[in-house]
Amino acid sequence: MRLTVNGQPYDLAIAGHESLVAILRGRLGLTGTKVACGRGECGACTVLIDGKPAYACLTLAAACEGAAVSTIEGLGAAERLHALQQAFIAHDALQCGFCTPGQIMAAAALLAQTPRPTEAEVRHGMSGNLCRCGAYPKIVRAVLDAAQRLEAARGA
Amino acid sequence: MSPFTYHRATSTDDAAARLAGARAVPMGGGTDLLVAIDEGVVAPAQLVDLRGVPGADAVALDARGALRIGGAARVHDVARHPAVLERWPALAQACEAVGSPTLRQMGTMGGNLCQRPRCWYFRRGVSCFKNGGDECPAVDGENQYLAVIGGGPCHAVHPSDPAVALTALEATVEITSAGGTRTVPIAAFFVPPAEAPERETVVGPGEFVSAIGVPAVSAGGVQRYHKLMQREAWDFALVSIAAVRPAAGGVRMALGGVAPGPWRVNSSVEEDVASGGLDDDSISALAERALYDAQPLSKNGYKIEMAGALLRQAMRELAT
Repeated sequence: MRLTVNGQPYDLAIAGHESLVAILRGRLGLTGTKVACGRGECGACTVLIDGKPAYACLTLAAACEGAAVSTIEGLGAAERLHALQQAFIAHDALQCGFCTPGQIMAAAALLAQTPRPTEAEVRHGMSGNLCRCGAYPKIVRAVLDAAQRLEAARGA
Repeated sequence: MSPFTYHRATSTDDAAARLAGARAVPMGGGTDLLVAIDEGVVAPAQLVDLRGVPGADAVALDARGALRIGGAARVHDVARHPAVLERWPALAQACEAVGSPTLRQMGTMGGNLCQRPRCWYFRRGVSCFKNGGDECPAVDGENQYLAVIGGGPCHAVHPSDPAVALTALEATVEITSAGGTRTVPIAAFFVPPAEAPERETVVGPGEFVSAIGVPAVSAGGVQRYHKLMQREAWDFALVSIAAVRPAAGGVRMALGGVAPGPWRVNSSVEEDVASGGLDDDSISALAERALYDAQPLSKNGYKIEMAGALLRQAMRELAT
């Protein structure tokens, strides 16, 4: 089957029971997407599928044929970080960083659907991503800041 | 995860034909099913993905003002649908209370109704009525999240929020198989454990939920869904309530988290609420009457107090 990740097509033989995150990490070497709980209870493996957030641990890779999968690797590049990545750095919105790719992909989905969220909307929209270091206040500030950065970039 | 094959159904007929095969299991968002497979609770040979069936995710009003929700409609899309928000807000609120934003965008309405209970004995493979055993280990064990009413011999509660709202709205569930389609009222969709503790719904092998119908007569008026959780997001209900006084009249209330399925409040209580003129004393008396047959297990008596508080709050809201 053909799997398209970050705009790049891959032709792969995939068994029915293989999860998207196993393919991303194990077959494509895209290890930015993390696995913590493996059962949809933490959000570390959040990716976008056709622009909508999905837990890649509870997504069958075979179900992604014909869909556009986006991971943290496709959001920005080291020399050209996405506004969310810049804002997470600026606000120090992480400690260990393990949940960060999932947090940022969930935030990307939120800001695509709600470009100018209130703080309450950010808290609600980010409520499917756990941070065991407890960086939540800074994560909320970073997402709000990223929304402003993106707004400014659109206006420019 | 034990191996299985995957088939993306291309039509309702294709889905029904595939599901007639041995150990074929319907799949929506997979957010509960894949966990249940990983836990060994479900062991399919083939998953039949219903999300690719054209129109299966549609949410639409018909000419008579009834709502038809495709079985593969995402929970999020129902929560945000303009007609649902305007006419059946209790359903919109219940859908918005499900899981997390990501789970709501992955999960389907049919899958939400068919998710398996979260009783930890069942989900961790401890012998119980749900997995072929002949006792409920929770009775003398950790039963704090289980049923206080209508339970026995299994005391697990159904985790769905939308099902509670759909019960108060007197919805119907359309079930399809290779043999055709049948429609059941939601009150007959959930199976009491005394009848068949190994399953929760009337959906049998080869069948899948193809649609949910919400009648026009349930629309409008005052509608509320409240959910008490241990944290403010991404949790199953300890106790929840859907309470509606539709524009067409009448009062209907259903509790979640307290019984093996959504627990419709006794009709005599609903009628007394509908007749109005309630003060604090009569509201308290009605809440007690609604819970008169509640029987807590050793560690879940708090749920009766929570249910009473939600009932009193809902009755005050319906009165205004």
